[in-house]
Amino acid sequence: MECAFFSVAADAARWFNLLENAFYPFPFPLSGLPLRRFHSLVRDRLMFLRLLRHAGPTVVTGLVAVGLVSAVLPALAAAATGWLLSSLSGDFTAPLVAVGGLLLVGQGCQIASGLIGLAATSRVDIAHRAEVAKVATGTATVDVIERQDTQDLLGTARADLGEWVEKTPGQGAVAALRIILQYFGLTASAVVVAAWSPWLVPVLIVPALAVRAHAIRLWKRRFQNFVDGMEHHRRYRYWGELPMNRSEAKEMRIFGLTEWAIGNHQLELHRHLDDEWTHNRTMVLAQWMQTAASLIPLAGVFCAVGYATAVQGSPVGVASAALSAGWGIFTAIANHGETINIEGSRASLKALAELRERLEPEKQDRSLGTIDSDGPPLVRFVGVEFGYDERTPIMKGLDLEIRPGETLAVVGFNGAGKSTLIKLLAGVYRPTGGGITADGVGTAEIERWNAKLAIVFQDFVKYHLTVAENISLGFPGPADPELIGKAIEDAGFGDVVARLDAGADTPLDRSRDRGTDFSGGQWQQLALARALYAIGRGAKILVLDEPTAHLDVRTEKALFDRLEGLTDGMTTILVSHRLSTVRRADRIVLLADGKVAESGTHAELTALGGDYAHMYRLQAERYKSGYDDRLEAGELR
Amino acid sequence: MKQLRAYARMHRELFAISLKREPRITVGTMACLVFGAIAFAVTGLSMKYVVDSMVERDATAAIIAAFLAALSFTLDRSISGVYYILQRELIDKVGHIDLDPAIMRAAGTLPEVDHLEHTEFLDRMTALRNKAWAVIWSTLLVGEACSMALRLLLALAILGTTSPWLLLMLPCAAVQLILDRRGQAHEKQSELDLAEDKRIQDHLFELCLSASAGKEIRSTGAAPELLERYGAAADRARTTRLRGQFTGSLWRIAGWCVFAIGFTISIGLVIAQVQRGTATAGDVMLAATIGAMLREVVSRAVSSAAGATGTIRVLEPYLWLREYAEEHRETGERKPAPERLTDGIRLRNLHFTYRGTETPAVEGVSVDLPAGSVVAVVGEYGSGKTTLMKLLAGLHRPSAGAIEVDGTDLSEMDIESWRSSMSATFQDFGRYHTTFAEAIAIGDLRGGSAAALDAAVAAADADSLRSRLPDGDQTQLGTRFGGVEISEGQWQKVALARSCMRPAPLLFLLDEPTASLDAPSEQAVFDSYMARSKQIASATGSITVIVSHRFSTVAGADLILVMKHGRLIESGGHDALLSAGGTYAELYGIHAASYS
Repeated sequence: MECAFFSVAADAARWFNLLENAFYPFPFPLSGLPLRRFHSLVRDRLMFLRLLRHAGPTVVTGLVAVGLVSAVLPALAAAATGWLLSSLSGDFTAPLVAVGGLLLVGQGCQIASGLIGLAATSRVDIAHRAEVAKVATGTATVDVIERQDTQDLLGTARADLGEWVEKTPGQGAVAALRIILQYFGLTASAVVVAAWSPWLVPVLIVPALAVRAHAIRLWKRRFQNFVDGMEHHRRYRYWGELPMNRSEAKEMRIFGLTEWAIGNHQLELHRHLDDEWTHNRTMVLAQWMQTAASLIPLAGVFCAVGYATAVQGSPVGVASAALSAGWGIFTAIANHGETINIEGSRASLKALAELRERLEPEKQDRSLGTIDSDGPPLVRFVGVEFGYDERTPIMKGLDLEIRPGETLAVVGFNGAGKSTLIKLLAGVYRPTGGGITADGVGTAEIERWNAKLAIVFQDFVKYHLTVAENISLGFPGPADPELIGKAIEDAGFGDVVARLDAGADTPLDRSRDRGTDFSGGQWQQLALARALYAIGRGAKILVLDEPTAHLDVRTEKALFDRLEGLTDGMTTILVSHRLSTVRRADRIVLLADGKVAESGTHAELTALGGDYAHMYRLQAERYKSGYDDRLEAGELR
Repeated sequence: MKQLRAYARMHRELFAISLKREPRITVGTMACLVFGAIAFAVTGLSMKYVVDSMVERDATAAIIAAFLAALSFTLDRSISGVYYILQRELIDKVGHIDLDPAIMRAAGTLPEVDHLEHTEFLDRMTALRNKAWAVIWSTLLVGEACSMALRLLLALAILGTTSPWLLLMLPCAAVQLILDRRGQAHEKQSELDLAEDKRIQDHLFELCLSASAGKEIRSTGAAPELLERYGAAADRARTTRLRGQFTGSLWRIAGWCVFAIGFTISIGLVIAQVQRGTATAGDVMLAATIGAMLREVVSRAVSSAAGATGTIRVLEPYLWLREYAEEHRETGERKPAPERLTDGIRLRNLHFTYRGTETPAVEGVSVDLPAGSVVAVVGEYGSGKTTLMKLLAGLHRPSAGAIEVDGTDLSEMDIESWRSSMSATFQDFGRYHTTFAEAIAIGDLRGGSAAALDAAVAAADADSLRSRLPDGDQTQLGTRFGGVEISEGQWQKVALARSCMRPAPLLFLLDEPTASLDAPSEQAVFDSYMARSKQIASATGSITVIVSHRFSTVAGADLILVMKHGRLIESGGHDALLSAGGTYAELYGIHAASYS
């Protein structure tokens, strides 16, 4: 049923576009091959119509039925009025009821059309945004997502109706269907006019199409202006939202930054919209040209009908119907409101198509290899080179072996590439040179390599979902409540969760109903629980990127004590700059200048007297002196 | 009624703002509305004369009337086209140039931050984000509604003079309007009901598109689950909205039935007059034309009203914010912050409970922070340390008790002057997606010399970061606008440098200032901050308050406050606390042991 509809719709679109195209060039120079233009127009409209598959057959059927009735209604009303005027001397009940009934049906259709239109629009939009999110999360690496041009495309594709010139794909799809239906209305009105005289039909239709084409051209330019200024648009929205962000709000008060943010907002705003405002002058002027182009044929036809009827004494009813329907032709065709919806939504569809094209090749490759071992694999970084941009290399031929079951600590100065190492291991960035293997197979080719890893990122994600959901999202597949409970206990915040209103089902967002929020430390424990859950589900390598930065000492110590028991048989990689926490590691590597600079146990590295020893001494000094103080205080007593 | 007056006042104000911002466009928009109504009236009348002159076989009159009809049809259409363009420009200009800044100002300069932390407020703030255009749009919709009322009046005059029977249409139109309003109430309710699902939907969508969340989403393979939850939340929101719209539509259709009946009966009565010879065929044409157009007028009036209902989603929070900002704005005579501290800051039985929660976050804290001291606050998480900092900065108003600065209650002090004489960095520091230099320089908008910037960068140990930036100080930070990606620790250094820009703050708050830094950086930062604190302290008696889990940071403080469950359980110097053998000594023992 659905398929049948779409093929019919496609045919209809083709024919009506043929009609539109045939008249398109009239008062304007013909540019390009009309055939090519025709093809692209058909393809374009079909793209919009195809979106309606997301709305479902019932909604689409309703939309078509209601749309058809509304489209032909003005013609029917004109005919009914004519009929009524012809029956003035006799029994007028039937035509009168027809006139009144059509009025009611028209209004009912308008309301139903709004409701069904909303149903269709929202379904198409949800599907569109889901697709955008799917494409955005579908790439193996994130570097392509970070790129400015990708973010621009995502910004356009999301079809966020913050700006009122933007329309959603759903609105575009519904509009494409309504435009087709408009032509039914046009035909119906033409039939009523033709009842008076057929030669009036082309006199009205041709200029109406020309006016329509002209208006559409101007609107297209306007939308292009808007899309071109997207960068500025995003910036002024950013500044506009800043005073409402919790983190920045505190500093904005302390440093008095509100006026500064407003200044930036205004600057970007003008960069974006000044052109559009200039273009508005053109559009207003053009409106008068369109008025003239409509008035001349319409007045000609009206006068001809009035004159001929008055002179010949032909039936007034048919003439009146022709007058009403003549105007109906203009309203049916010169109405470009729906075209605005199409143009407004085009940008986001185009952006999605472009995103697909750009991100498709980046998609996860088919797995070429697997690793068999049940335990943790042997991971090797061989001559790995990497930089976020070409000018600043982070990794300059890094060689590192991570042995199964060992606890490896990675230390280094800020910006030495500790976090980058983790991202390379996770495969969310690909080395620009060298390679990373697990048991001899390139990690990029291993099926579900990420399922082997349980990573606590430094900037882990805070889902505004429940505690349990926050944890179960650490591993793909259905949630395992038992393992979630265990992960909460193991991460050491069972008592915190137990105190919550709804336990693990409490949403972690103050703005949600009965929701709460965690402190920095509690979130960090939750992130750890997320990784422990992944371990429970079968991950073999635990990676902790600064896992205790926000924890107090007691919790930190308890945590590391507990971890020791939990990570037996696992490979553990610990990135930390708090050196007290890395001392227990089997091996410590110090990253510097894109390579491993030092490697060994705590004792070995301290004895080596290099950077590690220096860092350690610095940190320890203060504690040591504190410790001495205590001894003195004790002696005094 | 009170609300109605508030709306009326707001629309008057907004109209005045538009007139001031764009006098020509504002007048043009109004003119479109008036001339549109006139064209509407002429259409009906000319159609009547066309029919009458055709019946009377008066060719000249028929031509004139037909031309007038064509002219008024076309003009009505063109005017609405021009109106559309003009009103858009007006909305853009007033919305973005006048209202956006006004909202930003209200949100950004309220003394406290409660409005960003509680659900009830947050909902409203979210509704307002970048939505100022809807506020001015609502005023234009009121203008449109007035123009529709004008059309109704003209219709009344024309119909009334043609045949009094035709006036029957008008009360029916009124019934329609009343029923429509009932329908709108259902729609409004459904919009409120779906707010939470909408928020979840937006949050998850945002995460999927973000690059920083992207790496974890990929490594955990969470994307399918997230998409599923996104879809579920979106569907719930959609169903709620449609249900509300459906109920609303039923009311509307009921209203239209009433109107259609009135329309049919009144035309029937006119035809009866025609048959008696007291009316003409033209009158029937007029009645049918005006009647049909009346349908459009009423439905446009309704859609303007519906649009206005839609904007209530924004108007309600807008009015709320204005009122809230008005109420919470400081009034009356305020004492300026002192030039220097002589006694210090005294906390008297300080209590604070977050709105919507029951357990106090800070409970009965009384302590003196002497002028010129470095104070460290320690405690396990959730013990109220950050809340205490926020109270000191005046970001929350104590529920009970007081903070006295050199004997002056903070609640009596001019909060802006107090803030401008302090500096701070918070655990959740701001990340400004602008240039490196600007992100730091905004720490002191009044001063900010190049030398001060250099000093601040050095104090935050951000020199090496600075030297590695591809475009130097002008490097754009964050990938959001095509800048460089910097790490958590590097963002923290930028925040730290920002907090060092003010030359001599009386109060310097450092909430976990080095949590994301490596050991040498931490050391360097801490040393320079200590030196700086001591130096400023001797000049102005300033107080530095540091929240930290790092005992290395804490041990050097003059006064250490140990917090637990919102209460102050121990306070004193490092040595005294160690010898007391309480919680502090225990925590310190664990820490020191890890380095021994």
